[in-house]
Amino acid sequence: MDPTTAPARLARRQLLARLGVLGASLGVAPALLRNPPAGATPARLTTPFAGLRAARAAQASPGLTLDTLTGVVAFVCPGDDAYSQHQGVSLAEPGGVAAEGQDLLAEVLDTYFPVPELVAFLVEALQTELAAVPLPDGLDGLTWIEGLLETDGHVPLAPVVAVLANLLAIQVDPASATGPFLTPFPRLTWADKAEVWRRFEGDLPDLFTVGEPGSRLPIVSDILALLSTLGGLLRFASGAVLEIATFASYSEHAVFDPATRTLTGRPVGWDLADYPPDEPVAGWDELIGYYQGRTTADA
Amino acid sequence: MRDVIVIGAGGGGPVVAKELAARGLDVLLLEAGARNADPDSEWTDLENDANGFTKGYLRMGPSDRSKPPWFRELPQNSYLWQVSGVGGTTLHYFGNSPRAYPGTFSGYAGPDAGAYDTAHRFPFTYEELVPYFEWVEATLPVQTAPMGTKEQVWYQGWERMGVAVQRGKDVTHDGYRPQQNAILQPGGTAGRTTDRALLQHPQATGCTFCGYCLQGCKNPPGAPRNLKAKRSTDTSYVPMAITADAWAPGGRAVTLVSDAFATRIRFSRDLLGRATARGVTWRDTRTGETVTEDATVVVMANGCVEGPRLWLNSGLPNPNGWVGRGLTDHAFDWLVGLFPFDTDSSRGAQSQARADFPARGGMENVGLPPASEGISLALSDSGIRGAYDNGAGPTGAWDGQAGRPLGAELKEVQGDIDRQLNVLILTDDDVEASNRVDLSALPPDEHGRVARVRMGKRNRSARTRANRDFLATRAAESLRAAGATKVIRIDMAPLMLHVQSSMRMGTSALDSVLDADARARWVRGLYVADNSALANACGGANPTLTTQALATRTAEKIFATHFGGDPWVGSEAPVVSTDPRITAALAD
Repeated sequence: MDPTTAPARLARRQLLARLGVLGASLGVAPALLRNPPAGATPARLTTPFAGLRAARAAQASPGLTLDTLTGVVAFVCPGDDAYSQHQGVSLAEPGGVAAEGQDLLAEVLDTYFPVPELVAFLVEALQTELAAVPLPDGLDGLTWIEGLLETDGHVPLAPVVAVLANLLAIQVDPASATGPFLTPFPRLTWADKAEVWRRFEGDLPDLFTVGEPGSRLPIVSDILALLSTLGGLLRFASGAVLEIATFASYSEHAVFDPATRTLTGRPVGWDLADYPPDEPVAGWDELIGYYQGRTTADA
Repeated sequence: MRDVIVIGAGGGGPVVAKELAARGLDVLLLEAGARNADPDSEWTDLENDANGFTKGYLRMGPSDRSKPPWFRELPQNSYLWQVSGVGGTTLHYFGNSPRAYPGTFSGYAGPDAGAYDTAHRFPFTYEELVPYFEWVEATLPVQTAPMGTKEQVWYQGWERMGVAVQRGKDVTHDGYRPQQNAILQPGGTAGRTTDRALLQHPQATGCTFCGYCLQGCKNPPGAPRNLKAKRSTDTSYVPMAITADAWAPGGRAVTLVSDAFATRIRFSRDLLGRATARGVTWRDTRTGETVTEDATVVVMANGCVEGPRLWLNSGLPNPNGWVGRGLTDHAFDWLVGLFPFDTDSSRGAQSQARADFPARGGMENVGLPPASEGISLALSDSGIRGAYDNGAGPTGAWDGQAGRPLGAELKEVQGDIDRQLNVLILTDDDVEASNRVDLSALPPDEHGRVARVRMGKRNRSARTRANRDFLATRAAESLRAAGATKVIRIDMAPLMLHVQSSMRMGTSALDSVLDADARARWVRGLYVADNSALANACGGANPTLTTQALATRTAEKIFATHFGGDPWVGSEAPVVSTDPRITAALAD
């Protein structure tokens, strides 16, 4: 066994303990959140999951996640797909959805973040709001996300991002609780999606942002550092989702055969950008010469 | 017991390894990532396969791409773009190799002397480093970049603005110029055809204008490794290091071990409490096995982030608290101009022209393939143009507020990539203690506590912000002068691609980790030889050449101090990395 894994497990237990102290000291959701929706039913993360509910959530999760992320990709790079048309900004050409940007976005997010405990804390802090996100088959945002946190490895961050986007979608436009698609975010107009992202980049991370921990008590300092880490993670994630979605809309991933490491067709994004090659080239006939004939710099 | 262990085979480590191997020392070179032994079969030139955030072959992670990348905490909207593997971040660099600006060194007395980061100058003169610049420029080699359409457009803009041409390698005034690139100039059919059959080496030599610098250079097809066009260290210094017995009289080949993640620098203390480096412990990332070796000298070259992490995880002394502090990143910004005529932006080496504004910084033209262009457009601190500005969104010589062009505007901007021209802003940014690498509060990974990288943007110094705005304005003006009909400023969130000075050398022991010889102030036998050793941001010049010149100087200091040898730069002629003896030894 790799001996370095033992301290890692110990540190994880310490992390959980400190998060517990932090949650208790802050009263978690009520003290942290603004504008909690009326009528929301709080749930407890620490309550043992009902097996059937967790299993149903896990089964539904990929579809729910992709539905929301498809709405994100249509927002970033609209095209002629149904998600673009519904948001009121579409074009008579393919967009990021046709390039299957949502698949790469989900893949990247799911392999990025290795600390499920911190995400679990985030879920607990937001449980009232998450429970208010309606989903098909009697699920809600909280039950969707809870079942995904029972892991010692990389927490699947894509559904976490998706559920946060839906949480904000409900707050921006309560009418998005119902309508086409599986989740609220894709039901928004383009302008309302932008408002979701304004809150995602600003208001949401601000809830968890503290200054440089100045306490001389190590436990307090460590706990405040964790809170700051959570705010920082949200700030990073809110930008990263847009950046990855843009990258994914123009990349080759959807037509890349990993077995042969070749393209099976021309990437949609290459057509969108009028990018010249049909496959990687060895070079271009682009050499004009040297500026003012300068092949060397003066000594 | 080795003579020297070098941690990290990126931009700086292989320089020290090669130079000391040429002197006959027993050098062990460790690299945490992949060996990258055969790019022709391992790399594809495709963007997601190469630069995919978590699984690309040019990522920060283990060689086994089915395993997750190595996590680093970034508590702000930002992107830290480093690469593990033999070659390190030079694998995806553009080869841009300008010299640092003279005003960033001690002893500079030009009329603008007070306009630089005067509190954090290099602890020796520019003139002292020039012979080392020349040595590295001859070794790689560094050559003047040719011109394609995107460069022609760039030059036309500056000509119309009446700005002077910078003719020399030493930056003495505001001006524009061809890049000095660590890229072999095109020869034979290179740059003159798209026919792959005609571009085989040696019919084609040097840069073929493929446009894939960011995905790792493996052209011309069929070229031996040390004759690939771009002079990343995997094609230059590493081949020289592992064949040192073939080309250097008395030389001894370096032992290169990849998949070796350094987890601890071993050290002892004497009766007075003074620390001395004794060796290195690393973890084989494939087997999980832990290995330890001792050495007379340990050289840290594992980068601006992993270096401070390793130092702190090793329990090495940090009495002034400056380990990890003073991180600079050139406060990147990005502008894109849209043109009513072709710029051929996606073709050719990705930056072949630049402009320099001493005491302000620099800028360069950049052409990218579409997905990488996309992330450059989306990485903003100013929200989404036309929707929200995050409390920023500056206006100026560009069109509208700065920010991300998303939605319908993204489709417009990206509608014809070969009618774009990008400008990357390289700010002369100040060393500031609050921008730093330390240890995350999150649980450790298999290599110890992970790094947290904090880079403020809005709270940068007034000089840094003013420099950035000045350069963005000049860039927008140049794009318009070149014929752009629309200019967008992104106001980038920190894109930490040029990272420097997190283990800086300095004139004062109060705010530096290294002395003027790049030697750790508080640990005997320990040196640093990557970008983190730089005293400052080099004035905004791309840092790799300066790091490599400094690493060459550091190798001489190590040889003289610990092995009783004499310096060689200035008294010997450098061997170029394309030397046939190296080619033959690699073939063997």
